[in-house]
Amino acid sequence: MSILNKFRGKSLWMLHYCTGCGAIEMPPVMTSRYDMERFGIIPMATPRQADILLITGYLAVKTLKRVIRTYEQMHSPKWVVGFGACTVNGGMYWDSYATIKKLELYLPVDLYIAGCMPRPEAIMDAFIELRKGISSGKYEGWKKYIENYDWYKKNQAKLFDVKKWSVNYE
Amino acid sequence: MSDFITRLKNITGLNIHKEKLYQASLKVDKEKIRKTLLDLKKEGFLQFTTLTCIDWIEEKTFQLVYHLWHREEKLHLKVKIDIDRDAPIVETVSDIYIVAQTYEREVKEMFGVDFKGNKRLIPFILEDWNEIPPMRRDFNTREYVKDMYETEDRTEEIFKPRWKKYD
Repeated sequence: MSILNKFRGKSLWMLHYCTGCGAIEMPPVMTSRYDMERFGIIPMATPRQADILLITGYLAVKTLKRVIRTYEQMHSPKWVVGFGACTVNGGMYWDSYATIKKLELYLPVDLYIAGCMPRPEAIMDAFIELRKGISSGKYEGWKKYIENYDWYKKNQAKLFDVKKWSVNYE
Repeated sequence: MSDFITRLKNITGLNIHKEKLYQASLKVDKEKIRKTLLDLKKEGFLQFTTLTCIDWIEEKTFQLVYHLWHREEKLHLKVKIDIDRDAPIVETVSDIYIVAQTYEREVKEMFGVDFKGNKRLIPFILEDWNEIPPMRRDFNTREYVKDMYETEDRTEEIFKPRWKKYD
């Protein structure tokens, strides 16, 4: 499996779910200034073709439903990167009634990028780290999601009707 | 500007007072809101900018503020009405200014103010909301956050994410 992981790390397609203000840091990363294509990462249009789910910013419960649906549509192996303070502990929305505080309770986050917001340098740094981690088989959040499906669904069910918003939920 | 306000006062008989350059306000009774807005629209306040609501919990009132804009005279007029907080019902103005339909829908959802005659008071932004309207001041946001979302670290964490460390 290690040889597969090695190749996986070299070519990653990223689905960026731009909910919050963090999306503004993505254009410099994608375009010629920082140019993430140097590292084999390009933005992808649909969840079914993507490897990385990048969540840039706060998630309201309303958007979390859509994110979970998106995540479950992606093919394994897949990785989740939480971007910015909002995904870590709520950030400046720590007392908002509408947004979730800790993303790792609902989705298996492989890597967090701290900061409000993280600069393109930090994003590049995280991508390089992710690439290395994937090549060495360190990041296996998608396996944890399958193994602990009930635990994740229990957390999600506290906020909304999981039957309606999950793919293939029995 | 002042000429226009004086003229407006004479024509409509309303007690408008100027607050700033380009800004004036006016307080009317809840029953007169439709008539007032009709009069003002005839005088050239063609743009309905927004509708806001303020929760004066101590006085047990909701204050609705209708923001109007006069394009030629460049006057932003705020028409304020007070309504009872326990029975928040007011007549709609959505047939006078059609855009008010959406603003009334928002105020209905965030404050629970009912607009009699608005044809489209269906749920707006919130999904699966079972509490009292969230922008009311007696809605305890922190309590709700504490109940709904976990903010403390769990000891039996199933999966601990890694951090990008900078050192």
